[in-house]
Amino acid sequence: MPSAAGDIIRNYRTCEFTTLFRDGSPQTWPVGALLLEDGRFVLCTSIALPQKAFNIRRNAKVSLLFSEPTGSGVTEPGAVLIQGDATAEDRIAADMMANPDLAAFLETGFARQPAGAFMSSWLGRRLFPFYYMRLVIYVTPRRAYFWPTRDFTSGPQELDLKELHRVG
Amino acid sequence: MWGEAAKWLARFPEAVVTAVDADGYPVSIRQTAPRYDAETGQMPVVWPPDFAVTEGPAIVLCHPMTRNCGTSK
Repeated sequence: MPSAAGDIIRNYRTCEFTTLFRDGSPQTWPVGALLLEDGRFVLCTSIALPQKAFNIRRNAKVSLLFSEPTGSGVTEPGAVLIQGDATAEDRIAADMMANPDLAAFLETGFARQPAGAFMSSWLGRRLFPFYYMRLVIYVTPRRAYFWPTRDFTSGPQELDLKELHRVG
Repeated sequence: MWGEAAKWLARFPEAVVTAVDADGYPVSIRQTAPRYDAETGQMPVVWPPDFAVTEGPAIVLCHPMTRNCGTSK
């Protein structure tokens, strides 16, 4: 995998995550996602916004587009599209720090967005307990594409999925 | 409603457009200077060559980012 693609996956603050609604229409949200060492992505959604999980339980096919470089520090921004199969756990993760994947996700999120650390403080947990009640989503990549620049009028390069394990 | 959508869309320099490919997976790209024509009811999108999607529903998402904290609004 080109190192530029790895930089994008590691450093872009958000990606556009798409699931498929019951009628087959795509639904897209900006989310944070973390690439794990085993090559899967982990993300989560608040129990107040469970539509992503509902969609995934009906149709596992999803995509993640890393295309917004703002704040990432990446000097030559391109884009990466991941297509994969997702799982949404039935149980609610009430303590994100108890799940190592979610803990890593949270730490990455706070490093990227220090102002959000308030939510993990004692006061934040007391005021917004629902913030920590999350549904965990894992995405296993099936195909990955890379645009060296953000020029989407050109065709992308297909990436070797095995290389994702080296990026996480 | 679509006239209002066209006004909002014009405020964003980019939009993410998502459709579905032949294998049923979503495909997203970024479209610069998105413009929705409320009269024709169409938003032209330049799609990458050799990267086909099927005819059907699609979605357009615009979300600005703040540089300091990187959050979406």
